[in-house]
Amino acid sequence: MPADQPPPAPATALTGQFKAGLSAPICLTWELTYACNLQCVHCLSASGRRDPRELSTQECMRVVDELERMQVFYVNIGGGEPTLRPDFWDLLDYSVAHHVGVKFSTNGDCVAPRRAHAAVIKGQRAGEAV
Amino acid sequence: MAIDLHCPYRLNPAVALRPEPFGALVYHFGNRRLSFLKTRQLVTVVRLLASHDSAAGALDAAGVPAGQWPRYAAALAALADSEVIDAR
Repeated sequence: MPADQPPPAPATALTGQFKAGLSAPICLTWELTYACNLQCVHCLSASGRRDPRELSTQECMRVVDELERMQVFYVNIGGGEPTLRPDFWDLLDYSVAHHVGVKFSTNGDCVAPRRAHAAVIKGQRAGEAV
Repeated sequence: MAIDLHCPYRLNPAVALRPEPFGALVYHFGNRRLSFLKTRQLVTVVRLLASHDSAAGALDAAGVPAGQWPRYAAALAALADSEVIDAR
């Protein structure tokens, strides 16, 4: 090693810092709804019925606002079947516009081909993934 | 990808940079890759890239000692490979 370069940091340096935690999560899993149009026997979240306490559109947007302030990079949206929420696509647009990327899991049953195509194209630009 | 210290670079607009005690976390919304900036000085360099005519200018403005420039050039090259920074 050339004399003018400092010795490499110990391999544990960064992992040691992680023990103190990060300033915020890197990503979050968000179950927007437990409602589902299918009844898969293997469903891990026992979804099917909509929880009457699920967040309203405005409440979801406030969560996104908070995630933006925390600089959480993206959310993994599942459920339930998130596209059953009539505000799902609006929430997706709202998140991306507020610099919170969205990845979501869907059974695809309620996603029109044109909508899916648009989401993929938008994802290439703004960080969503389907 | 090698980095040309005489050329201008910038933080990719699709990248979010979040300060952390060790430096910063970097997330690319396009390719969805997460990267680490392992020192605060490297964070300063990356932030200064867009306002300087060359990467060397950013290194100089950030106060990186000349002896450490090869290390920083390697770090910037890795960031260019992962599209965190790009030539402008």
